Amino acid sequence: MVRDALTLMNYTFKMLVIKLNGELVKKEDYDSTPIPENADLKVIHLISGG
Amino acid sequence: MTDHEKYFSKRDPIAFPIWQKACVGIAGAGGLGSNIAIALARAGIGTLVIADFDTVSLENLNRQQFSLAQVGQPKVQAIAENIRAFNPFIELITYYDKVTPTNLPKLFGSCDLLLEAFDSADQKAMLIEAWTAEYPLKHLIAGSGLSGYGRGEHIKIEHFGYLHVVGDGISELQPEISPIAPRVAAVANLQANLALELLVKNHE
Repeated sequence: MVRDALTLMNYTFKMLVIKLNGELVKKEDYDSTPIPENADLKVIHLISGG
Repeated sequence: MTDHEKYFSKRDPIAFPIWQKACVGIAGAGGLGSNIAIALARAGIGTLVIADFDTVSLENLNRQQFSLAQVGQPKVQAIAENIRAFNPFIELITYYDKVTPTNLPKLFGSCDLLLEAFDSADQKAMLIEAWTAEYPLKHLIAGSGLSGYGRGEHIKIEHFGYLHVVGDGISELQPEISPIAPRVAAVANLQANLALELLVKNHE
């Protein structure tokens, strides 16, 4: 699942945007969204300030 | 009465008509938002929709496009005033309101694209999720990582389909130190610049 990938990569979950094969994965779906073979996983870490 | 023809002389003959017909949303009127709003208003965007729940405070003046006389005013009111001082032709729709997933369609539903100009990372994430869910084929240009000074070489523009992120992506806010004008304005103007580009691209 997406959550497992985040744990492996050591990401704090609050300030992220995740795109899996171009589609946004909502925070509430991190535990239930599997990562398919050869998937394009983009993890965008958002930084406060603005 | 400002001369319309003279005011709009020497504009890009292809891009400018597209910008004039465009409606652009800006979520936030602080450091990023006020700078984005001014840049887009000068460039000639026809309609700007700006939402912010906050008022101008003295410490804002280190980076936000407001004056001493405007401290205490709602930011959306102050930015509208400042824009009208140099662009009498723009249509400005302002909301002195907090942006939420629920009111997102009401505030920005009519916009061709949206610029994210919030302060907290939580709010940025909320807006990105909500906008992408509601309008997956409308561009969203976010700002992330702009605090400090110098390190201009690290400011980048990344594209993730209809989501674009401008900033260095790493500079966290230092405790008790607010972001600083040049870097904030640099990121804001790169966001605005990208918006102009996407509007033209969309049109092709």
